[in-house]
Amino acid sequence: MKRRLDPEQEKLLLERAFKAPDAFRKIYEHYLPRVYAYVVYRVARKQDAEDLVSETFFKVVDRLDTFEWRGEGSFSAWLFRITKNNIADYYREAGRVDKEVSLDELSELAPDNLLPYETIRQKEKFVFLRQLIRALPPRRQEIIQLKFFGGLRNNEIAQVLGIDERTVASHLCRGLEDLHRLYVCEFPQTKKEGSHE
Amino acid sequence: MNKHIDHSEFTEQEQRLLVEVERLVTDGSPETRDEDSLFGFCAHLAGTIPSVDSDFKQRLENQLLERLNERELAINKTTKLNEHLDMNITSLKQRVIAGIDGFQKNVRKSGGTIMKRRLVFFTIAVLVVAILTVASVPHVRAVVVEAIKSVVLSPYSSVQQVTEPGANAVKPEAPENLWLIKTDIGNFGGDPSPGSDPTVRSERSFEVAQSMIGFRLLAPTYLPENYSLKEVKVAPFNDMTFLFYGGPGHEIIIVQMPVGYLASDDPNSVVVGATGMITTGSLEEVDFDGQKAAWVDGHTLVWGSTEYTYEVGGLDLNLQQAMEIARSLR
Repeated sequence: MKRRLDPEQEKLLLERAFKAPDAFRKIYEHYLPRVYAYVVYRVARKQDAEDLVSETFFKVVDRLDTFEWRGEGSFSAWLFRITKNNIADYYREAGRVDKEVSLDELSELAPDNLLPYETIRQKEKFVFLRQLIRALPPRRQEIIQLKFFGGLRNNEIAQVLGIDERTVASHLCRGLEDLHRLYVCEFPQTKKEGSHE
Repeated sequence: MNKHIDHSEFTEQEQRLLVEVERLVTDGSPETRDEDSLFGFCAHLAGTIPSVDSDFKQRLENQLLERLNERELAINKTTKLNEHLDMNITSLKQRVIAGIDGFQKNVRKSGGTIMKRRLVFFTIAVLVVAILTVASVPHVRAVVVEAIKSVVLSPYSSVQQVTEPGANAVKPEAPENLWLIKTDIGNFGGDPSPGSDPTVRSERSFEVAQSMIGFRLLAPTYLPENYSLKEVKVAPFNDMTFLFYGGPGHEIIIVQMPVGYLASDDPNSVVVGATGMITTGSLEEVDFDGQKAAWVDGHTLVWGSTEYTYEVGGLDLNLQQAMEIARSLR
């Protein structure tokens, strides 16, 4: 699956979004899986994730007329900034804390055609990877999640987080190295089970 | 994408990792699954992407398209109304810069035109430049004041930076009904709502102030140390509310006002609230958590939605502090 829109096409779609439902639909269909994946890794619970994703897209609709195209990546950076802030509000309000969730509360993680035991295995793998990511420093967690699940380029991540692109690249490398080390060394049994799929 | 930055500080493996990760993220599902290698692990990670429930996707899409339609209608209405009233940024500037007297006349003129359609339009001018300073500009001088920069925050809220008025200012008389609230961050004023008492109400309690107004007042959950609520003022226009916080430094002011289509007692009229801020100081467009905002005079953050306009300002505040206070409004 190609995870990026052609910039010119994206610009045209955004310009037409208010007047042409098809144009908005294309933007929505392109970005929904990315926003959803990012949010799920941040909050895990399916219901909470859906609420946050809905809230994010409602804000996008409400603010779209104020969005200014500033070249490739400007929309995705804008969109994920809104998403990130929604998540921050979610944790800030009611003093929620990021904690593990039961498999029943999790979102679906794979295509519908998996067998039940495969679905459970996928969820276990997700919980495991999420647990590993959460062991990293917050900045590295954020960058890895925006990169792998949000599908953002490093310069887009830099815009979302308000840091330098070089810093993003540095955190990404170190974070992945740390994550891989954890994956291989500290949880060999779980890793082995996960690799049987 | 990483071609734009110098990766020489990264090891060869890290440089390759950055390229591989970019490829994984761009091309989607990976083929390799060798999780023992770092690259294989990255592919494994990229392959663990939660999928969206199809019912949820469809439901949200329907809701969004409906909302989009409502927004488009609202924007069209506003645009038409604005065109009809000549309520664009340029005219706002002309009216306000022409002085309060001229501003009043223009509002009356616009109102007169629109009354034929049983519509009433009210505009409030929020002046960062002291009103008396603006009012002191003679019309001949005032009209040559030029806009330098504009930041449009919403269909109902904008900030404009203008040139300094000339030195030979002559002070015209201020309109009778003008309300005025003077603060550290500038003076605010405008027309009162029609038929209302033009008096500015003042309270010391947030709860009492809340009971006086028709929208939910937000209070900051973060303030610099030792700051507390000192006073609340409510302007006689659409419950525009000013929270004054006192502390060891200069006071912090938080301004809130509903804008857009407002409730009206008259079923045959439509009332629209808008704010226009003018400054001869600095004006910078800033990103406030994904939303366009204005940083005015180096001490006041202004942002708005289609429903409210907000300001957080204080002579001691920098942009980060103002944003932190703004974010904490609950």
